[in-house]
Formats: sequence, C-alpha cells, structure tokens
Amino acid sequence: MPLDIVIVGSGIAPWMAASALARMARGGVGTMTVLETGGVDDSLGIPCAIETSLPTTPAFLKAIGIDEDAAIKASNGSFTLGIAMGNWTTNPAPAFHPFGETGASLGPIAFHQLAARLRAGGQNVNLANYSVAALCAQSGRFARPPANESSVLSTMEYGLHLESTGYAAFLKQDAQERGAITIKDDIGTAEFDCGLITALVTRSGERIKGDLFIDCSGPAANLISQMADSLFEDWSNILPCNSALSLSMSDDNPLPYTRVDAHSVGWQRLASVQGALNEQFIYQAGNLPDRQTDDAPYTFASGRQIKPWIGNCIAIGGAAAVIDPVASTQLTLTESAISRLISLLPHDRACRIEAAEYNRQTNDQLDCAFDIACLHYVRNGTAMPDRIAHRIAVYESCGRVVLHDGEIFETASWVSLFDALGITPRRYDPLADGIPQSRIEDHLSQIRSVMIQTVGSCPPIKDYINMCCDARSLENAA
Amino acid sequence: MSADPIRNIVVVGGGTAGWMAAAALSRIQGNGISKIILVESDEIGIVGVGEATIPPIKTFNAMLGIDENDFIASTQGSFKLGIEFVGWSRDGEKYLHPFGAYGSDIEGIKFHQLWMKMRKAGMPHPIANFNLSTVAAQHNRFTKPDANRASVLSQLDNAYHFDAELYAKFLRKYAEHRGVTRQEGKITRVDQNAENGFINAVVLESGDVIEGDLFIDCSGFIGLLIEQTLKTGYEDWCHYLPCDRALAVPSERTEPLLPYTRSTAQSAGWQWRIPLQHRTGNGYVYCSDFISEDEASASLLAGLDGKALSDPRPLKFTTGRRKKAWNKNVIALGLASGFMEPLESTSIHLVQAGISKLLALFPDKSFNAHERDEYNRLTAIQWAQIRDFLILHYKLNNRIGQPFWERCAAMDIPESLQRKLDLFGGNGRLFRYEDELFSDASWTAVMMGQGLMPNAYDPLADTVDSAQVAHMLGRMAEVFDKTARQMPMHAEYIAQNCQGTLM
Repeated sequence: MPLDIVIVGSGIAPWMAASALARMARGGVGTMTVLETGGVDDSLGIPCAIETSLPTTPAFLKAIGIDEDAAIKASNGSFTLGIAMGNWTTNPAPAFHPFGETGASLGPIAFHQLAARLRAGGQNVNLANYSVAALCAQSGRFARPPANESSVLSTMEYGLHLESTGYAAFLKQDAQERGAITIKDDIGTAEFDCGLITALVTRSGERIKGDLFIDCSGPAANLISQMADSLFEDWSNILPCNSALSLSMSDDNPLPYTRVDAHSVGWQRLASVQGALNEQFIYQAGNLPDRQTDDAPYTFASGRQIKPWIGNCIAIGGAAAVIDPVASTQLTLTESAISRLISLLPHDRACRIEAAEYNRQTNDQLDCAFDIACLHYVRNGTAMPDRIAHRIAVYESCGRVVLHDGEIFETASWVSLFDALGITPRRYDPLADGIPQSRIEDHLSQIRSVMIQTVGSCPPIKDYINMCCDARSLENAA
Repeated sequence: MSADPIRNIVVVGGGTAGWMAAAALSRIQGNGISKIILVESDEIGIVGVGEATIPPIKTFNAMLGIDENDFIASTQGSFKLGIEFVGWSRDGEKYLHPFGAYGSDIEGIKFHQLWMKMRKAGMPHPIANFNLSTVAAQHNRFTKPDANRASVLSQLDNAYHFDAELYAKFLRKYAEHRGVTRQEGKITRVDQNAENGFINAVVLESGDVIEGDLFIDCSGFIGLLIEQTLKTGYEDWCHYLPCDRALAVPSERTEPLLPYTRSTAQSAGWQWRIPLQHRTGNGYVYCSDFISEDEASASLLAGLDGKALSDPRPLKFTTGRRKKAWNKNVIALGLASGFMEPLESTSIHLVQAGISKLLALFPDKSFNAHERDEYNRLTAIQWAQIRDFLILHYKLNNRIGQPFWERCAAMDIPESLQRKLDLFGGNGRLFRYEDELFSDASWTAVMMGQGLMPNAYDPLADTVDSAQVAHMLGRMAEVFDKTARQMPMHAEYIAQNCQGTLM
C-alpha cells in the first residue's frame, strides 16, 4: 500500500528528499507534503552560501535522473576536482586531495606503495602529479570524464560547487512538478498513537496526516527529538569547532577545486561558483582570527542522533547528524540517507526491520565521516578516538589503508588525506622490492606524460562552463 | 625497505595451505633479504581428498602467474560452475548455487526484484534460467568465460575441482623453483623467547634448529605453534554448525563428467561429490550425536555412484576459529586457523585470503601490534560472514521428521544472519557488506533454494515498464539457453585443453 509522506524543513535537504522520492519511489509513495518552515537553510547541518560536494553529487543526480547541467545552471554552479589543503603541516606548499584515481598499480602493488618505495630511496614524489584531476586543477582546466575506460581522463572524478538557495529552489521546483504539496507554516505539535506519529498540527492549526514523517529541520531536529527513544550523541569534545561564518564576493575566475586552509582555531574554505567566490570560516567560538564582520556567526555542536529512524520518523541531513564539514561530506551524507531510505522504503508504518537496517547502515557511514573529520585535528594534540588511532597506526606502520563498512573515502582518498596531513608510512609493500627501481620510475614517468598530454586537450574551466552550463543562459531564456 | 626487515620466514607444514603460503610468499624474496623455509615431515599425511574451490582462486593463480591448462592437467582437475544442493530443503528437491550473477539490474533495480515482479505476472521462467553458469551446468557443458563485457560469455563464472595432494605438489615445484627451501623433518621442540614468548626456532628430530623471525603455522588441526605453543584459544561454533566428523572416500569416475560439486543431504549431515579427471572425491560430513561411524560409513558407500577405491578415511573436527589467527610472530593458515565444513568450498579461499592480508600487512621485526590487530579484525569479520552463510543452509531446511535437521531448523541464529533473513523475507532486500565474499546472487540462490521467497517484491520495481522487462527477460532466457547448448561438453573441453598428466 503506498505511503503518505510528510517532510518537514526548508532548504536543500527536504526538497532533495521530496524530489528523489517522487522520482524513484512512484510505486511506494501516495501523497507527499512538505511543511516548509522557513529561516536559514541549515537542513544539511551547517549553513553555507555555497555547498561544496564530493564526487557523490554528480552520481546521485544521475541515479535519480536529474539533468546535472540544469542543476548547475540553476545554482550558478561550478566544478571541483579536489581539495587543496594549505597550512595543515609545516610544508608551505598546499597538498592536494584529488578526486578519482591517483596513478596506476603495477601488478598487485598499489600506486602509493610504489611511490613510497621511491620516497624511501630519497626521491621526492608528489602523489598529485599522477592524478588527472590534480593536473587539471593545477592548470585551471576542466572537462567531464568520458565513459570510455580506454582514456586516462576516465580515471578522474569531480564534485560540484552549488549556491545553496539556487539549488534548493531547483529541487523544490522539481518536486512540485512531480506532485509535492507545499504548506508554509511552523511545526506546532505532533499527534501520536502507540508511539507512532499520526499527524502534525501546524502553528496555524492545519492538520497534516501521514504514514511516514521525514525530519529535515536541521540541527534543531524538531520532529525526531519528540520521539520517545531519541538520543543525541555529542562529538564536540573531539570536533571542537562550533561557529560558522560565510562571506561571498563577486569574482569571475572560477577555481576548479575547493581550497581548505587550517588556522590556529579552525579552518577557512574558499569555493568558486559562477561570478562569485565564497569564504567560509569554521572555528571555535570567540577565536575568529583577524577578521571582523557584522553578521553573527552560526553556532553548532558536532554530533548525531543515535537512532535517525525511530518508529515512523526518519531524520535526514542536519537533523540526523552535524559533522564539521572540513571534508565536504555534508551533501554526501544527505544524499546517501535519501538513497538508503528509498532502498528500504517500507510497506507500512510498522517498519521495525527497515528502521533497524537503516540505522545500522547510517551509523556505519557516520562513523566513517566522523573519522575523516577527526583526522584533520590530529595535529592539534586532540586525543584521537581508538578507531581513527588504529587507522593512523596501521597506515604509519606499513602503508595499508584500513577500510570499514560504510566508507565514504576509497583508498586513494585516504592516502591523499594522510599525505596532506603529514602522516607517512614507515615501510612499504614488501612486494615492491621485487621490482627493479628503474621499472617503477619508468612506470611513473609514463603515467605522467600520458596525463599531461590528455590534460592539455581539456578547455579552461570557464570555457567549459560557458559551453554547457552557463547560468546566464537561464536569464536569457527568461 | 625497512630498518629491520624480516629475514627468515618459516612455514610449518606442507599441505595445501603450507605450499600455497610458500608459493605466494616466495615473491617477497625479491627484496634480496628475506628467505623462506618450509618444514614438512614425510611421516605426517595431509588431509584432503578432492578439493572444490570458488572463483577467487583464479585471482590467486593469476598472482602467481600460473597457466590454467597446465594447472588443471597437473592436478587432474576439472571445472566448477557451482554447487548442486540435493534434498537440502526437503527430499526430492534440488537447486544449484551457481557462480556469476542472475540477469542484470535495470535502472538501479536488482534483477531478482524484476524477476519476482514478472513471475507474479505469470512469466514461466524460474530464476535459474537467468544464470548462464546454471544453464551450462544443466547441460554438463563448459567453456571459458569471456572478460569482454559485450560478450554473453562474460556472464559465466567458474572455479575448479582438483586433487589436493597434486595441487600441493604442483605448488611445491613452483615454490622450490623460486628459491623456497624445503626441509624434511619432524618438529620435536619449539623454542620461545623467554621475555615475550615469541617463537625463536623449531627444533627437528634430527637436532637441526630452524630459526625464524616469522612463522606461518600450517600444521593442521593441532596448531603446533598457534595452539600447542602459544595457547591462543579457540572459539567453538558447534552450536550453530554441529557436524563434527567426516568420512572421505574416492570412487571411480563416472560419465558424464559433471561441471559442478554436489552436496546431498543425509540423515545426520550431508555428502559431498567432487568430480575429478581420474576419480570422484566423496565424503560424508555428519554430527556424531545422531549417527555412528559405522552407520555413516555404510550410508556413504551406499550413496556412491561409482566403485569405491579405498576404505572411508575418518576425520574429526570442531567447527570454529582460532581466537587470533595472528599471535605474536605466528600466523596460522588452513586448519591451524580454524575449521568450517566444506559446504561452500571456502577452505582454500580462507588460506588465500589469509595470505593476501598478510602480504598487505606484512610486518617487520618490530611486529607492530596494530598490523596484527588489523589482520585479526579482518579475519574475524570474514570468518563470521562465511559462518552465517553456512548456517543459512541448515536453518532453512524443511526435512521434517529427521531429528538432526529439526534441531538445525529450531536453533537460534546470529543476529547478523537473522537481519538478512528478515530483510530478504520481507521485500527481497539484500545488502552486501564491504568485501563480503558471497554476492547477492549467492544469497538469492540459497535463500530461494531453501524455500525462502520474499513476501512481496520491492515497490521500486513498479517504476519500470513491465512490457519492456518481460520482453528483455524472455530474450535473455533464450540467448542463455542457446549459448549454453553451443558450449563443448565439460569432458570434451578438458580432453582438448587440459587432459591430466602424471607428475
């Protein structure tokens, strides 16, 4: 029997959920109502004028059938090929965490193990020199990777930079075109029967009945916090940042990457969209360095709902978890939560089995996102929790990347991140010693020359945007 | 490579596990520092009659650079497209757990969901018709899978059957050729470091002392180093998998040569049948609480389809795993690391997986605890996942009136398995763990084969066009059937490509 769905919140998360459910779950969804509460869009967790994504966002849009160019146009969007990380170690040059593959293995020996062997011999090997995404980023070029695996360009991946208001409006329009009903009001009270929500009564007295209630109200967690079993796990002792400020200025030279620089009390991010550059500061309160602004900072505490799905209420986005967004994981977490809900869409309100599985998978993924965020604070002297300490220790000892269920980063990303934070292995794969050093050197220089040649054929990012997803084309059409 | 690299690696025991380890580790000698010695005693026999494997064995062989035809010919081997389970849900019923996928997903919707939807709408084809390995197996045919995804033969997947003793010999030749030293002799004493308990050396009957930095314990059930010396401890899984005995007997080859393993349910366990070129391997895995050795032996011999070539050989075991596969400077592989019955042919795979984990986390003389912990963490996860898959076969039986089987059907099961059953039984949902050995297709084959049909298909399957799916499925079944009929007979393929040789 199709379920009537009620979504609460405003901004990217509720509309992304509405659009994806309307597109993907036609057989399982009856009516869909969005109670739009208004206010600052913290539906993903920490609000920012520009959202930066990992390569999951293009993949998610494709999976639910949304035209990526249209989404980019509507949100003045641009592309990002990785994260440049400055000031995280004493090395003055920023390190680069590229999206997609880095290098290529030689037989059973992973690329980073080959590089480690050359480094052990005294050579200075920069991993990013062997990544198409990094080389494109360096030269300000961009083209979408082809599906054809025979081109080295197919080894690269990319994420997006999207203006939050434009992206939310785009998703809203898409959901409304597919039948989502909008009610603008505040949550008043929820009505319960046997621990399940039966209806929401808005502040102005309207009653919205439903079978499944999705809480996209951001860190306020207005709905899930009313469930009997709800419990928030606070991570602020390990992820100390609690304030955010965002400033945009006009700029017409988009950078095809995200830049994240460490500060003594937090970090600062630069991200380009069409016609603008945004700076976001994430820091521990009272410590904003050398910058004054009239805006009050947004304050938050990192942590999560231990059970994001309780009864017939599912918290998605910032209502489920707030994680320091240093690694651009906010969009990823919300996209995965929505995909997971679709893959577990229940048949009726009593959905104990689906809820348990949803919570298990969600927590696996949040554990991994938490590990990634923690790792950025390793040099602060913050005591690392056991799991991330184990990841670091194994990598430092033999260069092996520990992977868990629900991982957001593949091996190559973990290696780049460790490298960028100055964590290097003491040893490398013993099998790498079975290969003559000259053969490894030839392998590396061959990869690099093929990549440089290919990257040279990509257009400057601005030309690429003008060609296929220029936001001004919307205005002209209108 | 490191300030303090491992110099001497000592492999204790020369069965399948020992020689697999020696062959794979021989590549480490490329660093010019490490040396590998394998100690085995001609007096101590090896366990193993006929071995059946699963497809990842091809990765192991490729890593070693082994030629498939040479390998099959040298081990009297044959090809395996899956396992036929006879009588496991109830007498008279059977199903194949095949290698390779069922059909292909459409718009992110899993194939078995589409199949359930079309089946409900009256489509006649059983799901077996959409797995090319199954269709080929039904005709006793085989050919090599094609790596090119455009080819229908890319849907095929296979593993091997071979004579375990010949496989050990084959790998011994490989390893010795690459510089592994074999030391004949019986170990009579083990020397430990007085301070930290690490193994310093094994001492042979002859008085020879074999010193080592790293020891690979492949000594079989007794676990000479890992248990006898280090007292690592054993986690007993008899509660879930109560079989504790096996009887093994070879019999004469019969025709046609089947391209699959067969597992037939018996009153107190099950009987395996592994077709090789020169004979058929058979065995009865049973629970001694429910049948005597004599009765089991009689049942085994009565169940053979060819003349027995020897008397049944008994084996005793306790299902479970060593609490730490890596303890101090010892890594246990094969039976020394634990035992799970060969119901899904996972024994050799566990050895292979242990070796690749060891290579990925290879220690130096400092023996960093985190590498050991990671090895043990990954090993524990893998063993538990396979255990759950084996329990599934027993739990979902319908052999009413047989005390052994009724006890299995009534047992409580791990929460991790219960969750899988609930999700599949509801809407046919499957979620594979990271690095899980058994795929969605394997779980689908066995759950449906054992009689667990989902209550309903996933509502997502309603988003695709029925007429289009019906057309696609009809066409797929047709193409698979035609493709399978064009393959050579299994015996013919072997005669043409890899006829057995005497070593």
